[in-house]
Amino acid sequence: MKKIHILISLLVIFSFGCEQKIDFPVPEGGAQRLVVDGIITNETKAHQVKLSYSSQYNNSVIPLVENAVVQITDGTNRYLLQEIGNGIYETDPLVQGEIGKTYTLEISLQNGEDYRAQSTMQAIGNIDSLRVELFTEEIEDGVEELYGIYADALILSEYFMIETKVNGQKYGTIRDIRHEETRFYANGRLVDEEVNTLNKEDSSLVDGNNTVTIRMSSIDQNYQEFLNGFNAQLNRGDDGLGGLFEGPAANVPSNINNGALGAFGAFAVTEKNIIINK
Amino acid sequence: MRQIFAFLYLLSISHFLVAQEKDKAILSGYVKDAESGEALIGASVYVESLQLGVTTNLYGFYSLSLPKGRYKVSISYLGYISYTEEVSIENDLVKEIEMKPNSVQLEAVTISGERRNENIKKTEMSAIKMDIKTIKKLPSFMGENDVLRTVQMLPGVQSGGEATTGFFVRGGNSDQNLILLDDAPVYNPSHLLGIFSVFNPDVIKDLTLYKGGIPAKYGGRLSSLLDIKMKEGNSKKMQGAASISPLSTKLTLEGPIIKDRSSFIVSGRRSYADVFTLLSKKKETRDSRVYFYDFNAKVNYRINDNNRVFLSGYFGNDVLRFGKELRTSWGNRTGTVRWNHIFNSKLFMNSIVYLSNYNFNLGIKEGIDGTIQYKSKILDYGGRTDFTYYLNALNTIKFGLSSTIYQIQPGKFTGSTFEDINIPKSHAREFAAYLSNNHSINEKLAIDYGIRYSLFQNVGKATVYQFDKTNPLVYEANDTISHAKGKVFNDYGNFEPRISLRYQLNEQSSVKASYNRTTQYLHQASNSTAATPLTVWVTSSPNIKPQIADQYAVGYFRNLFKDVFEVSVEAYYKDMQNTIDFRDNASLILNEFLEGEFRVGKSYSYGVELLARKNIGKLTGWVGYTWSRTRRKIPEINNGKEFFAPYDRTHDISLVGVYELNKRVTLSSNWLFSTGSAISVPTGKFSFQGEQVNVYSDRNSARIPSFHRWDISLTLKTKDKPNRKYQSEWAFSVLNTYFRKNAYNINFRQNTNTGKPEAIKTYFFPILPSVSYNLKF
Repeated sequence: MKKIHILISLLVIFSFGCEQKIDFPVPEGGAQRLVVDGIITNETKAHQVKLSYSSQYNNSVIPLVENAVVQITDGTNRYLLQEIGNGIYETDPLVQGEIGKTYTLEISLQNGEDYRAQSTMQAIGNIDSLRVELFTEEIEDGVEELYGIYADALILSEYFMIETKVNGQKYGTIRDIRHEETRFYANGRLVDEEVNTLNKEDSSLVDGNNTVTIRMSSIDQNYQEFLNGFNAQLNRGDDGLGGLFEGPAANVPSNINNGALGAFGAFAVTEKNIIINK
Repeated sequence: MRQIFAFLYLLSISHFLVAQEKDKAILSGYVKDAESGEALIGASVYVESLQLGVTTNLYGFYSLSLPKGRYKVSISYLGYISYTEEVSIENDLVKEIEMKPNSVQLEAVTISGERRNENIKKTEMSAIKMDIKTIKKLPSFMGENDVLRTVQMLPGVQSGGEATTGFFVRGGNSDQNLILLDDAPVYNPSHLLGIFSVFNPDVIKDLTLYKGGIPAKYGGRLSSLLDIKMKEGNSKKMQGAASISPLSTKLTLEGPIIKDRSSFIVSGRRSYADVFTLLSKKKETRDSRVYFYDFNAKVNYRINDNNRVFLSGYFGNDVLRFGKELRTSWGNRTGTVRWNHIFNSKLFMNSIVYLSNYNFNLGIKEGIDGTIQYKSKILDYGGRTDFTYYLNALNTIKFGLSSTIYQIQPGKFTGSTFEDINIPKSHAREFAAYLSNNHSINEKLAIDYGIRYSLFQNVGKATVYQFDKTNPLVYEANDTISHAKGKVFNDYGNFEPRISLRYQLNEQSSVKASYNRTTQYLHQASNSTAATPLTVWVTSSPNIKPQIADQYAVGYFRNLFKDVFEVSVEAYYKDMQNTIDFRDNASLILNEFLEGEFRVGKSYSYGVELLARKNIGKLTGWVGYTWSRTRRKIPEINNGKEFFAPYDRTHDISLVGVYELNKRVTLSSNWLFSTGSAISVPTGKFSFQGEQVNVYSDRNSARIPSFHRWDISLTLKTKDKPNRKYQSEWAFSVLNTYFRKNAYNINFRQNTNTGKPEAIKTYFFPILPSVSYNLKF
């Protein structure tokens, strides 16, 4: 599906647009809004919710939220999250989400403001197999070598995202998360589908054996919309035509109420490892 | 449906209501160009002593009811030599009139005793007619004089930006313009992603833009009608034209098939911008191709004095190939068969059958053997019959019927490892009937009143989704209803009154007022101001109500210095219902739940337009100024607060001048100014998993810097030599003379290296000189 979006920007390869940095005064005084980054999965672990505030456009400091009361409930159980610093709150390490349950995140700030968000955990399916293939690609000055990682998998949820870990460390940022609608795959099956490519020269790869983990999560429609909106903003104007064919600049949608930003999701997760020998 | 029959019945009785007046006779016929035989649209036939006159209709036909007697009849048409002829009318008389084109040196002759104040006398307002000769004299864009770029320079018309031929009329979206090429609608009027329009200036005769006061005959779009007529082809002698510019080559041939009975015109054009890609160092770019071609043809045959048939067609394609990986093409095809029939000197009929089709195709190579294919298509065909009944000198009645069938394939995606996606085709029909009368009540007051009834039907096979709208950000489809093939499962009917009124203050000035309602059943799913070739059109349906606009306009028209200057001031207010917008981050392509992405509300626009035009003399041109405002209020967008439409421009100025220095040298210049378009700017930002994005406050609350540009051109004709069989000219143009980097858009993002926010403007055109060579033989 991404392909279709890529092709729209390909349509403008003969782009004759020129870019120039300009001074454009932005209005001061945008209200400070709560930003939530929270996920609960079906893994047994300390699930984290990160709270911060939005900042003024020209201010690079990210204000973190302290002393908030953060809870996650599935209707029967209620988990109180402990503040561990840096705006991060986490559950007891023995908490495990259950497929089919609806989770509600409740946040009470010190100033008395309350926020809520909800997400239902759907089954994810599983990754049957992974394979890796080294290939080369022409770039402007020569060629580069890339590892393509291909997967066979079955997806049961309506939407899913794919993240990658290299030697246990998360690879890339939110930019690198692939997120899609399952309906574009026949019977929800990924067949030898390229799920990620890693540059051989990437600093995260060490000489010798590297463990690469492909992690798939059963995101819900709200989270999908959030990722779509986030990426649309990150890539805005990147077609070399100043977004000639793009819609108006829009805020990233959020499933948190009361005008908060960010997203909360309850996802089932499946992972598989493959060794890349560099 | 019953309403239609009632309406038809009304039509039929009105036809017989008035008996022929005994002591009168009718003068009728066609007015043509003496050199090429082309019918002249809007030429004036006038009897000074009675102060009675008519103008020729869209097909060059006129009919004038006069008391029997002897009259001096004046015939005039801009750019042609006017003359007066004595005509004795005892019985109905069919008179074919031929007019000689006027060249500069004959100008002095043309200023005597003719009726040029047609703009004062007609009831029509908010309409601008332009012939191709005027357009061709203006500074060209890379050697091409584009008709849509000229339209963008008219008051009341906003451009979507420098790189696009899209235009916006009086606060209406670009999909609200009905663009007709020889009566067939054109769905994507742009080549090269909007840099050029599909209209080859060598085959276009003239164009009329109606910004309001749209005749009852036309409907289907809210904001404007751009009626483009192709030439008929020289019926007197063979001739041709060729031109070479940095962008394209054109060749046109026209001539009689049977002298004075049948003629043809054919023209082809191909661009070769892709030649430049061969110069690239990158292999992929070298293997890339970007070009367009188009082809126009028209033949006509005069069966006898009362019957003429015309056949015209257009087809064109844009092709974009990127290495061996990607190939896309898109293009329009239109075809029209027209039959003009004169029942008698009072009743004129024009019947049309047309077809229009727009295709978009894309293929991407995937892996070694797979190819992803994407296709979308719109097919529109139908027919129309229009009657003009010249009841008497004071009343001209027009009535007719039309029917249209739409077939839309919104998108089909096949190949690769992805599941095939085939968004089901949609089928719909649109019928209309209209009746109008142009009534001169007395010498001062004339009213054109009419009504149009349009009926729209959705036809199966179809699956209609019902949406749960509790979450305004995302509508969720929660139910489906299936409809069998051929079944009409939904319809909308609308009466569309059209009234315009003219009160003549004196010979040189008049005031006019108009009201009209228009309805639109076909909408473009696009949220950018540029026209992407991946256009998805959507019909009205149980989920999408038709868009309705009511426009009120008043104007003052005055001619100065013996009709040398035409000056007008118009003010309008337009109220639009069911205005379409889209939710934030809408997904408009290959989305079977597309209707769930629509967010509907209201919009309104108002403005004042000034136009001073000089059509006669060595210096011709116009000065246009528009002040306008266009706002939308969509409950689920911008927290329900009003916001500016992206194409809202407060001020808009155009200065256009053509100076014919002598027989061989013509200079022209235009200067354009407009307020920058409305954009949303960030007021904050937030961070999420290592990346930062902006937080926007109100939609479209800020403006990009104003746009202005000065273009000049010089045309040099070769010396006229008696024995020379050809004429040639060099046309030099410089676009954007003072190299203003006009922003198309401004994007706000974080610098990936420094992490600091920055504003990046995108501009398209540097200073752009061009030269073209045109040959006529």
